[in-house]
Amino acid sequence: MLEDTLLRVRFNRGRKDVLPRIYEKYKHDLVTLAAALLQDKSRAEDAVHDVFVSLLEPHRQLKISRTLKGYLATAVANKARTKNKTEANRQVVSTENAGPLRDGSSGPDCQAVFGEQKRHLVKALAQLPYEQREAILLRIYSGLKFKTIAKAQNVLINTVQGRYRYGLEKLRSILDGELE
Amino acid sequence: MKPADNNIGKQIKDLRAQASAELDEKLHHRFQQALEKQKTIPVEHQPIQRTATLHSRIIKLAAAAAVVVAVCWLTARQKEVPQQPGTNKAAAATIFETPAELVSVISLNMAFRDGGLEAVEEQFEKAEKKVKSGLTENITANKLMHELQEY
Repeated sequence: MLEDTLLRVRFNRGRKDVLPRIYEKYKHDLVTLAAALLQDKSRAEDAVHDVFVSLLEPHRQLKISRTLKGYLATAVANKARTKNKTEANRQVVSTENAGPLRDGSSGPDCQAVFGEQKRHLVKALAQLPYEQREAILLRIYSGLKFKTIAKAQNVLINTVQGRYRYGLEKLRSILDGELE
Repeated sequence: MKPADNNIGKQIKDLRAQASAELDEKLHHRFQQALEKQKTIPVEHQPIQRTATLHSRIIKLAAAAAVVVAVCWLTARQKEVPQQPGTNKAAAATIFETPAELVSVISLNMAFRDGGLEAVEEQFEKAEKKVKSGLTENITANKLMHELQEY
């Protein structure tokens, strides 16, 4: 925690030399979050890469005012959301020619990333609408407050709480159905 | 959160994916490039530490509070100075010289405002002393009355 504060203060003072340490500390968490959100590891790594590259830009005087972990998780979630929208638009355009629209099911690649034990969970998460998945992962995995998630998603806090609640119910019913 | 939700929560928290070596390599290369670039930036173009410190919200608040306290303290001090007892009383005693002036309504009013009944009493005593000692003039009771009427 103390180290995070120190890294944040140094970064806010324009010291880019702290970024390798920040990356090493949170790279696995951020890749996990992005992979769970996008259900695709290569796109997840792209999202993390883009976030750190944007932090490196010299003309941007970024100031991190909250926790480092929360800031990075929100940044990765924002980037993943953009990538997800782009991908969805691309699929819509491609289906106009041929082929069915790809649903949110996770591919074998993503299930392999998280291991056999998490296969059911990853598959269930993939069946949730993107906003619900994002609310659940940011709340439970990244430990963000509903208020912060609402700000990141640009919606009311009640909407985020609703997405979280409905998402959990659906997740539970999917997992229960699979186990029976 | 229900017990089943706790289980789901635990499973989600246990999710783990590893960042690939390829990503590590790409990003470390970018970090290295950026650091080398930063070293070549002249000092005058680098961010000023003094202004960077003031970006912290707590420091801004503390600075604002210090300014407010300083202004309040100075204002209070300035108001205190003319209200100190005795300063005007001394001035009133120096303004009014003759016994007639000393017991006039204006001088007594000023003395009362500055020091209350004690000051009025002192002023009377002073006038009485002056009359008795005859320092000012050869004052008789009639002359004093005449002077008072004139004043």
